[in-house]
Amino acid sequence: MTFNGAPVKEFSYLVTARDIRRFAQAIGDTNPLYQVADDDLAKDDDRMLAPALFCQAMAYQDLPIEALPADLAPAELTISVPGLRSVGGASHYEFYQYVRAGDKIRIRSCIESVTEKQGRTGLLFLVSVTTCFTNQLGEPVAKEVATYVKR
Amino acid sequence: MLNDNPIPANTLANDMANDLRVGDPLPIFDFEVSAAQVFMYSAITWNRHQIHYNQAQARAEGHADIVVQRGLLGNLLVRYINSYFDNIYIETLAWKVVSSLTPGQVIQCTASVIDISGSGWQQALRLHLSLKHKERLICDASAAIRGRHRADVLVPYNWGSEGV
Repeated sequence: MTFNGAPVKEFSYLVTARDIRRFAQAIGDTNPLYQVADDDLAKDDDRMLAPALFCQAMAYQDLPIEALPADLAPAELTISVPGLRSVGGASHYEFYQYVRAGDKIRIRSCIESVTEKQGRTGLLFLVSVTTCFTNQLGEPVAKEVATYVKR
Repeated sequence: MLNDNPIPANTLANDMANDLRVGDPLPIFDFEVSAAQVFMYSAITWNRHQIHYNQAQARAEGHADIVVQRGLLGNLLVRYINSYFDNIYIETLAWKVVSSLTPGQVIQCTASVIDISGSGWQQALRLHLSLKHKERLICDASAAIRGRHRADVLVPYNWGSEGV
C-alpha cells in the first residue's frame, strides 16, 4: 500500500526552556545544562540547547482523546488496516542542528507506506511515518522515519 | 540509571583519533528504567497510548507489563553516547525494537566502532549499539557521530521580543 505523501499532520510548536528541562528529567539526563532556571537564562540572554531527541516531545499533536484510536495510540495510526493493536518498531533520525528554547518548530508528518508482513503470531502491518522538523527560519532541524507495527 | 563505573569521557577530535580502532568495543553501561520515568516520558511527549501506563491493557495485548516506549529507548542510546564521548554531535541515530522492555528490568548497553573516517576536527565515527536485558536483545541500533563544531552551538537567529 503506498501513499501520496499528503501530510497526516502539520502544526507548529514553540519550544520553551521548561519543555527542555522536563524532557531531560523524563529521559533521566542529569546534565546541568538542561536544568538552568528561566531567570538565569534571561540574565545571559542565552537559549537553552535541547537533548538530541527532543523532537520527540513535539511529534504528537494536542488532539482531544476522542480523536485517537481505541487504544489511544498516536492518531496517525488511524489507518484502514485490519490490525487493532500497535507498537513502536523502529526509528531513524537525522539531526541537522540543535533545537533551542525559543525556537518555533514546524512539524510535518506523512505516511510513506504500509507494508504487509507475516509474523510469528499472524499478519502484521508495518506503517512507515516520516516527520520533518524545520525551525522559524525554514531550516531543517531533524527528520525521523518511524516504523510502527500494527497487528 | 547509569551504573557507577567511572568512565572517562573522550573528546572525539583529540583522544579518539589515537585511541579507537574499528572493531573496538566501548564500555558497558547498565540502565534501569522506572515506571515513573515511563510515565514522565509519556507525559512530556503527550503519548497517551495505553500500553505505556495501563497494565491490564498491556497484558491484554501480550506484554508482560507496561511497555517502555521506543522513543525512551532511543534516549538511553543518546545518554550512552554522550556519557562516553565529550563534545560530539550526533548526526544520525537509528534503532529497532526487537522485544518489549518493561520498567524495573536492568538493561545493558554495549557498543563498538564500525567505521572511522576523516581526521582531527573532521573525524567521524559510526557505532553499532545494542540494549539487552540478560541475554534478550531489546534494541539494535547504529549511530553516526562527529566532533562538535563551533557553528553547531551558535544561535541562528535572535528572536528577541518579536515572539512568534
